[in-house]
Amino acid sequence: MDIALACLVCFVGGIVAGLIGVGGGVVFVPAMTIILSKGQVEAESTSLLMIALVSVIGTWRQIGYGNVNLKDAALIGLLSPVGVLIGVVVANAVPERALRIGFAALALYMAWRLLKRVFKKEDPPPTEAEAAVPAER
Amino acid sequence: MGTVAGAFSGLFGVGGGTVIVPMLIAFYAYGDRLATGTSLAAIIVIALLATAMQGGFYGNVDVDIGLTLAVPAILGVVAGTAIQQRIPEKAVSFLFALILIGVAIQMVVG
Repeated sequence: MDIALACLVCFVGGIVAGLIGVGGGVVFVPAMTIILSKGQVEAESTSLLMIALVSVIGTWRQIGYGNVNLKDAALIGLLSPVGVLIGVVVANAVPERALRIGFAALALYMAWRLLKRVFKKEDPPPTEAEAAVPAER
Repeated sequence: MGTVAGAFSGLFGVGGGTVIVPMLIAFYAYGDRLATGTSLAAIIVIALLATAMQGGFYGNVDVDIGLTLAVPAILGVVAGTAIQQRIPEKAVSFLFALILIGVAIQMVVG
């Protein structure tokens, strides 16, 4: 019964992953710790395997929809481990409170940029007369 | 940007996609769907490296449970990517803006 519930929750996690382009670990880990009583480290580690499989299939689907820049993805993926190492070093050198406030400020700045984009008015479609005139070169 | 995304993971334990998608949209003028697809592709590399570390070196991966739960999760990601093609593109930006505001609040008061 527990495994059926965990499967259902992970299905929802997969939908979230496909919808917004994240790995889904934020859903997979609690499915294992809360429903299957797995330890935190084992759940996080096992979720990495699931994320790898989910992201392979998700990428395959998104390539079919024309939504993947493989060159940039490879660059981001390969540089991330370097960043993790830098992050761990910085985390041990800078007061945690300062890091948290810094990240919160960056998150709010990104949120503001995204909201500005969401509510930006689209240019009106060209009128028939404008559409008939070829653009100047 | 990969380095920055990885640094945030190392600093705060936030998943790569939570940083990669909004950065691609906000700073690199990516469309929402292109950002999510590219993020998923980048996550393959990150997750494979991390799985190899956790499973290969530390033996913390429960392969049976992982593969069992991956089946519905994979069905979910197929459904999720299909749904994404049918909703307004800017819905992803809006959703991420809300997530980022939530993360910011959690960082300050948590």
